[in-house]
Amino acid sequence: MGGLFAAYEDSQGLPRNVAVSATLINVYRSNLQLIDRISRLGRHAFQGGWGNPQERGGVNPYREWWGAFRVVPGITGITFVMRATGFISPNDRLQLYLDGVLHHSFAIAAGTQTYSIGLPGGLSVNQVVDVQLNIARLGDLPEITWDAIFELRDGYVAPVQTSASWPGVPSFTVDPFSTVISGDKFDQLADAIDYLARQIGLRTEPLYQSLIRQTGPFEGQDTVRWDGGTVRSANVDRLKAFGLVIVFNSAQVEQVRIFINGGLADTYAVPTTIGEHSWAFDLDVSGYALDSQLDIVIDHVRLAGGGNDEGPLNRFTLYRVFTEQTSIGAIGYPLPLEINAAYGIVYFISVLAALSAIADVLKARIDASPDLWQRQRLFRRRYAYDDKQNEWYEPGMLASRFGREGEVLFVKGKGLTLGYGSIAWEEDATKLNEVGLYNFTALRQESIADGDAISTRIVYLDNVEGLFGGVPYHVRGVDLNYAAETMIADVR
Amino acid sequence: MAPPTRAEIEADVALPFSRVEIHDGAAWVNVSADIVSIEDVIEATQGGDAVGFGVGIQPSLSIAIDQAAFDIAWEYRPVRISHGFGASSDIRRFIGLLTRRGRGYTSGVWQAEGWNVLISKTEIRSPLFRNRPVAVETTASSIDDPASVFYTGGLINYIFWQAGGRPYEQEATYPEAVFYYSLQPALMSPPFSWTHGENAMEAIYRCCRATGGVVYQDTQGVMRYIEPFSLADADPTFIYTDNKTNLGERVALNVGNYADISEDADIGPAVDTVICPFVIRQVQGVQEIYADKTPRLIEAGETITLDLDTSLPFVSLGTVTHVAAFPNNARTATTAQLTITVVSVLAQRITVLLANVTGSLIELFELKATGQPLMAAEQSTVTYTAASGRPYARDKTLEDMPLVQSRAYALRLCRLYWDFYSQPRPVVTLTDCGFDPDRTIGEIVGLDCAPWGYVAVPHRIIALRGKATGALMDVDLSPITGLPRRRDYYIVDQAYGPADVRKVAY
Repeated sequence: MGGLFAAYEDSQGLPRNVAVSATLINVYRSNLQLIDRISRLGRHAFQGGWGNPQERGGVNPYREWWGAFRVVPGITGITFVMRATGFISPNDRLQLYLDGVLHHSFAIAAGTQTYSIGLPGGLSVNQVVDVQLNIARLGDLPEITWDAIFELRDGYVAPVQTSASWPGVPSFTVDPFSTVISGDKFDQLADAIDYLARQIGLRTEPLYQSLIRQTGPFEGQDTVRWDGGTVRSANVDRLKAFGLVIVFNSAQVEQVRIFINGGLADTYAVPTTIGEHSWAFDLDVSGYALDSQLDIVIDHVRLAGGGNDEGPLNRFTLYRVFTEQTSIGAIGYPLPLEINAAYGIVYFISVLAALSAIADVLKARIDASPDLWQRQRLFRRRYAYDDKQNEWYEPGMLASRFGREGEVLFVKGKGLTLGYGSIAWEEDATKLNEVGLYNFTALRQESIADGDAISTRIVYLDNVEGLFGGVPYHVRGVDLNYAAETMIADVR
Repeated sequence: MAPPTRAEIEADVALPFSRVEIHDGAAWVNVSADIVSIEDVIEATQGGDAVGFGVGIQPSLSIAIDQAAFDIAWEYRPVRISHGFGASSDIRRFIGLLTRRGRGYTSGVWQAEGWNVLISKTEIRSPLFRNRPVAVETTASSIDDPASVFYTGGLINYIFWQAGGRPYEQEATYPEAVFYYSLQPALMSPPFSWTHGENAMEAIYRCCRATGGVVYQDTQGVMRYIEPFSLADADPTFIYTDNKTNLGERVALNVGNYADISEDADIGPAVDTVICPFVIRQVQGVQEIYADKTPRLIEAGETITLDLDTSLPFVSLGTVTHVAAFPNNARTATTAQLTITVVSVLAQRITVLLANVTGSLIELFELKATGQPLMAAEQSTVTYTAASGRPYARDKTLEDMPLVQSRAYALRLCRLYWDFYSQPRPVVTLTDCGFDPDRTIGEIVGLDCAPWGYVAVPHRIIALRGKATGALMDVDLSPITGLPRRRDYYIVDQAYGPADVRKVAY
């Protein structure tokens, strides 16, 4: 087993009237350590969108964003955070389609808006629902102009909630006269740990769509731009982003920039040396208010040089944007109990009390970060305006996981392959694909959804030989509707 | 000095009387008049394994009969043997089943075996138990009836109940039980446990080997499960001694004599390193768990019962669906026309009723079921080793046991086996002890043996073998010094004072 949960074992209560098991208590301890570790994970930022209807040739309605989500226990609604300027209300509508059916339509208001819509009934757990946001202008009005800008900042379903009930944590104390080693309290502690595992086990991380664009061609324009968002959760204090620039034209003076809530947060000066250059941002976001939305824009701008519309053009790639936690203080764990070692009742109870207190701390930590543990970000489909682009860009734009964490991968689509290991390029210029990219194959790749029809598949990652925890992998396919990794395959 | 009286001579050589009864289907019938002699063997273990985790043994009885017993129906008849002395009431020594009869011209012999022979032949399929001890303690109030919604019994409880047994502690509630069982709580709980029609007694022995513990039929005919820490957790109240004693001393000191003593200590079962394989079981997502394309005709108005046996145990059942048609008009039969009712769900069996509620013949072409199967995943082994003081190490690899399903569990089992088997446990045989119906299997007794330097050294009775004369019996003992004892550990739901110090177990 290779996911982060590989070391987790069922937290069993203790049978009555039997010798107390050091092993089972040590399992409580190791499970709590694992939950502690996982509860420190940040998450990937939502992959949103930025656009203007004119970029789609004035098509009305046009697809602004597309993706999907998987139904998990507890969710009742879908939420979008967006910003819009230049639209006319109520004619200009944002239309929410679920599995191709119009579910909701609302007028696009100016400024930053948050829309939460209830999900339809009849959804079943593990069902993958396609989501599409269209922008439409209704009525007899002229086309939406270039002045209208729509930015999608966040999208998620919530509340993700395990069906288990929080039992509270037991109180282990030494009575001055007579202390009972209570089986009910062990049951309660085991149930508490199990609850925590179930809740964080629902963590679902969509695979990240890579974004590859040519830069330019005009000076002073950020023609490559990525929009998304995340939330400043408790203990999340770093925002990180990684990508690549390939310089073909040394005359161009360019920057990669990152903005948070409209303010320039950092820049990366693109070298003028021909070749590949990695860029990265690592920002302290601890100063932002807890639970506040962080709107993120990453763009690539040509400041000077290279002329207008003159090639060759450089190439920008974004890999991932995510948050991390670095500031949580360490929890002190009691030493593991040794089998057949003798302990005084006072020490023994202190061990149990410490474990109980740790479970309480972890519960509070998880509750304090609903964005991390009670929301499931939507998966974004390929950055493509239409189906033709979707097919063109398939060879170069992958949905990637930068290190396996979970036990199971849910996918929806057809003709999908999962690849990992080294990449082999077909270095033959005569065999470039339609968009001018070399074809490649992964050292290991296997079909996970055949090409006949769109279907939802569950891939148990332990069954993929060699895909150990931490190994990056990707999913390829033109019709990739959804790919997301979830922490545990089954409710324990 | 006057010569001894006959009473004085005979007082030291009192013969027990025996009562042999056979159940004729209606009542117990005393057939003692037709019995010549009885030789019984009641054991807790055998084969040189003095500890006996999951050793498959059963008591046996050989009853010499006279010609008058030839007409007594014997096939699989329950038989019970009781012994007493003089005018005393008798004490049950054996309950079992007659399984063989041999006879000559005017005499014969019955062979009787314990409840193992009945239980092993009973086909039992259980639900899938999750995180349940294999044996849950039976008490006067424990709920051992699987039909109860409050049922919390383990796999061994389930098997015994389904084979006709009832808790010994609830004998008054179930006076007509086929047999009785009494279970101590098992030390360990496998994540998943189940049985699916295999030899039920072997399934019980496998549970014992996977959790530590001993199952045997005692002299009362009660099937007992003893958890490991209780094997040595008593102080001797009776002593077998080589000191010369008279009747008064034997009664006052609660001692008994033996004519001879021998010991067999075999290095075979002793270990320095224990290796335990384990197989992790994973619950898979909902998928097809059963498919059957056997065509079947179901008449109008007919209901058939089908047992769907899955190849793997499953944690939850999803749907059961069929493909069926009316052969006379080529139309599909819907689930409203051929209804499916699930009547029971066990670990590897779904029992369904298929009812043709129409007035026409239906042909069933396909039956499918979905659910969450439990599949074997990672397989590996763990090892525990510690110094024994012997010049050469001995390894023991435990058998593959489906109930060992995690690394942590396997390590616990390694420690358990090492603690009980690291030292060879000799079998001490006391020959020609006076017949004593008060001695029971599992009892802790003291042993005196001057040449060995033994003074009341605690031993556990592991076998009792009555002799045909009825006056004597051989007793097998095993020393318990060094074995873990329950009293040394913290016990769940027990109270301790502020100065108490105890160990924690596996």
